[in-house]
Amino acid sequence: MQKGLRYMVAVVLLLGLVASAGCSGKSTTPADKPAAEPAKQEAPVPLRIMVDWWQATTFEEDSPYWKELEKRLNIDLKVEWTPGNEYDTKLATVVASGQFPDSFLVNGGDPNLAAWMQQGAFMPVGDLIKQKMPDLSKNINDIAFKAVTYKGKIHGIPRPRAVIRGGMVVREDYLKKVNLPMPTTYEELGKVLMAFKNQKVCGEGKKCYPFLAGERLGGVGLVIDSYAGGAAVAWREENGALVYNGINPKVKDALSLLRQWYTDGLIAKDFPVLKGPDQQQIVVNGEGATWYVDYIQTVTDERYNMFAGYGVGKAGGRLVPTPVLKTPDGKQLIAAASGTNGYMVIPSTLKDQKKIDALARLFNYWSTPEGYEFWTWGIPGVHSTKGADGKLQLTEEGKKMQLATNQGSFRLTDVAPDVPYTNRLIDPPDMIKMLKGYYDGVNPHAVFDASLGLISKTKQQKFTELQNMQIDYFTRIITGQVDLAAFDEFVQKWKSQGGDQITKEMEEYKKTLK
Amino acid sequence: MARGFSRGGMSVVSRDRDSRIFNLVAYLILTAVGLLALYPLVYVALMSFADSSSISNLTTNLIPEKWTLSNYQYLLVSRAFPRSFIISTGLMVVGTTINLALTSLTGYALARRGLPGQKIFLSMVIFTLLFNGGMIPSFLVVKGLGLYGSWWALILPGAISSFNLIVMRNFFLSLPLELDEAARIDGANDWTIFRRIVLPLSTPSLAAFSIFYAVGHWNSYFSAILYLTDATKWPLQVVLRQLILMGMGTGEANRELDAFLTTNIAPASIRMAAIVVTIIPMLIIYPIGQRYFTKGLTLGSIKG
Repeated sequence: MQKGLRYMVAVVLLLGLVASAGCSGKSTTPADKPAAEPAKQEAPVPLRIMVDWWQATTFEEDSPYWKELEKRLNIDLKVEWTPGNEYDTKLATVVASGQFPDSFLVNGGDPNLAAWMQQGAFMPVGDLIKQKMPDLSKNINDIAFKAVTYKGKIHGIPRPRAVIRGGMVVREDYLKKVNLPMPTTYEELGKVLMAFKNQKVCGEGKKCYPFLAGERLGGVGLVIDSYAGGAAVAWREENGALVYNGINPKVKDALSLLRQWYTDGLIAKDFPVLKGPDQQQIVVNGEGATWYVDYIQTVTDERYNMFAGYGVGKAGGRLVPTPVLKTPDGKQLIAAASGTNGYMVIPSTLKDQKKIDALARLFNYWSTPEGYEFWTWGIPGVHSTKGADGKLQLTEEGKKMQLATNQGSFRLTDVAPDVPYTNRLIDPPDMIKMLKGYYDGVNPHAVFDASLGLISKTKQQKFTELQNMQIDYFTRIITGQVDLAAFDEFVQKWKSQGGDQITKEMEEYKKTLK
Repeated sequence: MARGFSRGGMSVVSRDRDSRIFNLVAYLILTAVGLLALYPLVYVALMSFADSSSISNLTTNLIPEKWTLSNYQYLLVSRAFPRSFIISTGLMVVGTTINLALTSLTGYALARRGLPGQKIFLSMVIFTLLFNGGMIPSFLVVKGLGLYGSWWALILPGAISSFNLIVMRNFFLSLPLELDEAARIDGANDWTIFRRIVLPLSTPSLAAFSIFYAVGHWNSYFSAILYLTDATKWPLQVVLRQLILMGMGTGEANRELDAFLTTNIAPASIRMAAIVVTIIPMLIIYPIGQRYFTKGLTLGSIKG
C-alpha cells in the first residue's frame, strides 16, 4: 500500500512538472489562441516573424501603436527580437532545425544565404512583390535584389537602405581654426590633418586624433576603397572580367599613404583596438577631428545627431561631410552598399495563403501613404494632435513613439523615402535639402560590388577567413609591423588560399545567367 | 629552534633562512599576479564612477577627476536594466532550487540498492556526460516540449548536471547503510530518511553545487538568445551585452532618459556601472560558499 502511494505521488509530481513546463508565457501558435469571438470580419491572421535587434529594449507588443498596427492590417503579430550580434548563429540553428517562423530576416552578408537559396529553403517572392507590394517595390533599387536572385527568381524582400549611407566628416570649427578649406583630394586631406596636429586643434594638453580610425580598418577603409577602385572586399568588372579590388596594386599606394600618416601621428597608435563606442566617445570629447560615420544623418540631422547633446554640435563644433576625395590619379569614387539591410524571406514550407498575403500587407504598408503617415504621426489624439496653426504635431507620447520606431526599425522593411533617412512629413525642408545635396553629391561616384548575386561555394567556405587575413595584413602594414612589400605576400596568399577559386566560380556562375 | 645541527650538509639555521627567502619571493610573485588580476576590476569600478569629462583621461589617470553616481542612477531609472536584474535573480533562485532538488533526488535514487534498472539509468547518465546532442537537437527538444519562448527553457533542459549527479551519488553511496537501517527500525520511510538524515549530511556538497548552478544561471546568455523570443524576458547578461555593443545607453524610447544620458554621463561609464552591478552578486556569493568547495566536491569523489 505504502509503495503504491509512493508511486502515485511520484507520477503526480512528474505530471505537475510537465504541465508547468507547458506554461510557455505568451502563446505563439494559432492553436493556443482562445476561441474566436463571433466575427463580423475575418479573424486576425497570426504572424510570427524573427528579426535582429541592436538595443537593450524593444518595441513592446502591448503598446497602443502595436495594437493599432495589428488592427489596421488584421494581423496578430509576434516578433522574435534576437540580439543582432548573435542573430546569424540563431538563424542557422532555426533553419537547420526546420522550425521556421512565418518570415525572418537574412542578412545580405550571411555566408549561408546562397546555400539556402540553392536548397530551396525560401519561397520565390518576385511575383508577390510585384502584385501585392506595389508601393514597396517602387522604393527598391534594382541592385538590392541581386544577392537574393537565384536562377532568375527573387527569394527575399529587401529592407531598403541607401546605397551610400555614410561618409567622411570633419570638424568644421577645427578647419576654421587651421584656416584651411575643405579638402577635395587625399593630398589636401593630409595637409589638413598635419595642420590639425601641429596646431593642437583639440586643445592644449588634450588628446587629439586628427584622423580617427578604428578596429577592422574603420575609417582608413574609406581611403583604401578609393584607391582600390571600389570596396576593398568586393569585386569590380574590368574588360568583362571580375577582378578583386583588395589585390589591386593601387592599394599599395593607399597603404603607403596611411602608413605615413600613422608614422606622423595623424592616426591613433591604438586604432586597431578602438571599437565603435570608443570612437564615439572620442568624438564626443572633442578629440576626433576627422572621422568616418556609418550614417551621415547622425551628424547632419539634429534629431538624430547623437553628438549634439554631448558637446559636438554646440557652439560651432559641428561635424560636416567632406566631398568624395580624389586620389592622385584623379579617381573619385566611394564604395556603394547593396541598397539593402538584409532580406525578409518566407520559408518555402509556408503554404497558408492568408499568412503570405498578410506578410505582403505588412511589408508593403510602410510604403503606402497611410502607412507612411502612421509611421510619422502614430495614432491621432494619442501620438499626434493638431496645433493652433492646424498642422499636426507630435505629443510627448508621440515623440517617444518616433524615437522607438526610428531607433529600431520596428518597421520590418524600411520606407526608403526619396531622400534616405528623412521623413518628408516631419523633417524640416532645409534639412532634407541638405541631405539631398549630400547624396546627390556622392551618388554619381558610387561603385557597386560586381559580385553581388554571384554564387560561389568557396566564397561561402573561405571568404570570411580571407577577409580577416586581408584586415590583418593591411593593419600590420599601416602600423609598420611589416614592410610595404608584405602586400605582395598578401596577394599571393589571397590567390592561393581560395581567392582565385572564388573568382573563377563566380565567373562560371555568371555564364549560367546569360 | 635548534641551532648548529646539521642534516644532509645544511644547517637548520640556513634552512630557515632559505625558507624565508623562498616565502618572500613566493609572496612577491603572488602579490604581483594578484594585483594584475585585480587591476581590470579596479579600473572598471573606478570608471563606473567617472563623469564624461574624466573618461578619456582614464587611460593615463586611474582615479577619475570628477566623480558621479549618475551612471548608476541611469541604470536604475531605465526599464531594461532593473527588469533584467530581477529576471536573472529569479532564474538563479528558481533554477538553483530545481537543480539541487532534482540532482539530490536522482542521486539518492541511483545510490540506493534495489532500484530496478539502476545500471541502465546510470549508463544513460554517463552517456550524457560524454556525448551531447548539440545545439540543433536541443533546440528541437525545447520547441517540441513547448518551452520555446519561456524561461523554463533556460532551467529545465539543464536541470541536472551529469557530473554533479555522479558526484552526489557517490557521496550518498559512502553513507553507511546502518543509518538507513536504524532509521527504518524507527519507522522512517525513504522520503523521511532522505529528508532528515541524508540531506543534512550532504550540506557541503549541496552548498558547493548550489554555487555552480547559481553561477551558471546568472551567466545565462546563449540559451537566452536561442530560446527567448520576447526582449522583455531577456536576462541580465543579454541586456549587458546589448549595452556594451551599442554603447549609447539602453536604447529606450525615453526622452528623459536620453536627456539624462546626453548631459551627465558617458556611455562608457554606463557600461562599466552595468558590469559592476552584474558581478556584485557573484562577488558576494563566492566567498560565502568557498569554504564548501573542496569539502563538498571531494566528499563524493572518493568511493566509500
